[in-house]
Amino acid sequence: MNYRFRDLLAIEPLSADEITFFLDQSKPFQEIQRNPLKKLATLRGKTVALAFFENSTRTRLSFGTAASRLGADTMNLQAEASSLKKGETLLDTANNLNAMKPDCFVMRHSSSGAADFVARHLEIPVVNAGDGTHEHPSQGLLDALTIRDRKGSLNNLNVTILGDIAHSRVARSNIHLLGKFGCRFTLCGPAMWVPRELEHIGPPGTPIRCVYRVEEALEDADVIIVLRVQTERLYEPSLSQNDYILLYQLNEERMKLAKPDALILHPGPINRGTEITPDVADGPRSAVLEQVTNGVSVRMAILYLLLVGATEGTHPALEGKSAAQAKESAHASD
Amino acid sequence: MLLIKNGRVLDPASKTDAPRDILLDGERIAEIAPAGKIAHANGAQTFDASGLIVAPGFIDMHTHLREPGQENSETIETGSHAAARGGFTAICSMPNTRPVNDNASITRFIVDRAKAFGHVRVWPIGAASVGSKGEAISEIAAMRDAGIVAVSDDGKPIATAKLARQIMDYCRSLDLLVIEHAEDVSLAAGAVMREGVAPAAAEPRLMRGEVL
Repeated sequence: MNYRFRDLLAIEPLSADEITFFLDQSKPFQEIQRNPLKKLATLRGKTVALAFFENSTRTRLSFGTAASRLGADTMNLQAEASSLKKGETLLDTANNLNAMKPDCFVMRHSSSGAADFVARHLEIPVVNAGDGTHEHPSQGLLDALTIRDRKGSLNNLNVTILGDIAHSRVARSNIHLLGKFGCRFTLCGPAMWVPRELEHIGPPGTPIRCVYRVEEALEDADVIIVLRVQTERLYEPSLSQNDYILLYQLNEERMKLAKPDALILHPGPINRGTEITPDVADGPRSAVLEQVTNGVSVRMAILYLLLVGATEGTHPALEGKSAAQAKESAHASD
Repeated sequence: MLLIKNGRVLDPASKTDAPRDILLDGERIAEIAPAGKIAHANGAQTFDASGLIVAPGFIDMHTHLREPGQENSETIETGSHAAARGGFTAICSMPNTRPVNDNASITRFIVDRAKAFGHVRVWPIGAASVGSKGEAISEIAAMRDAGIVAVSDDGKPIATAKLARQIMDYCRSLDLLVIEHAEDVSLAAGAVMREGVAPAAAEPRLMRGEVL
């Protein structure tokens, strides 16, 4: 099949088949991460603009690495060191960057809908790397890939999301995505971060319940997604960190309530000792570092699909691999 | 054992208003019967309550015990003693002590002090916001574990409608009451009484906002 959109702005409009397609296309790129030579020529001569109007280290490095490993060049905009401080509008910035002729625009912005807005004004593909509290599609996809690898399938899992869900674009993308595979959701956190309206998001008919006691949320969970606690939120009175730890911290004692093979995910960065204890974060059920590795693979797949598109025949990642192996055996026989 | 006899027993919970004798055995009520009809009163001390009302202890939901910090005004000991004299067997103490009761350590101090020196049950109320300043939310769950029964920024209203809403949501999930000091400070402006017959504007205005 071929991906029918020009951009990747959100998970919500995608079908379960399209998501499965993205995940399948990521698998050969997972292979590449294991190679000594992690370079392909697939996007050689192409330029990927990384326009991060909101801070990020992980996602920006991940997209940057993905672009480089595909052979592309990158243009790097970072929020603090930019003329945004001089009052340049989002549209002007986007048009200016676009005038330098990149082939793809990866952007993160603090306003929900910003990526969609920019996409309407550009001819090139736009990838949403996080817009306000709306969506973070590549995170949703890498979480799904991690779950599928560890659990074998995405179907009909009990998924618990723990933390500040009201302000989380990661939670929304996860619910939209996993909801398309029949998953059931338990959202848990302090009452002001888990409003009842969240019971109506996701694909229609998705079972979502809001609970306020972590013990209830952990029973029967197959996947537990732990969100970072921002100890300072803009526009919001802050909640006591002591209270959060007392009521919601994921520790070994509480993990005894979950299924023995429950999987723990965290979009990062982790606040060790706040939302999660070190022994749980580093334990065998945690897939936090796998998520990061999978993030590069998924982002390689995203850039590949948007810039080149899937074709019949060998996946370029596998072509690259066999080329590297051929080179190695050539050297060996010298 | 103590026999309280010839009193007029008033108990709203059981809709009782009648002459009754009451037999106490240690900390429990052993028997309540019409005057003169108590069966096993042998050896009990007696108290003649003729002409007196006998009722369950009252609860004062709003007291200021001024400890810690203002012991020159009142202490847990003096305040609870006054309460006992007035028939109040349980009192809730507001958090505007110095320092404010906005964390579990202060709550534990009050509870321990009350156990050692209190004359009646003392149930502390915790501050809704840190220092009752209306900015950050106090460690309400930790205070709940230490023994608060409700939350308030008493002395003032909760500073903003947004904070009030968040605190009400949070306390609902923790099974704690929120007690509001219903006074719009800008309208009340340091005055003590309204001239005239109808109620002042400051209280209804705040309550209308919070009830909605």
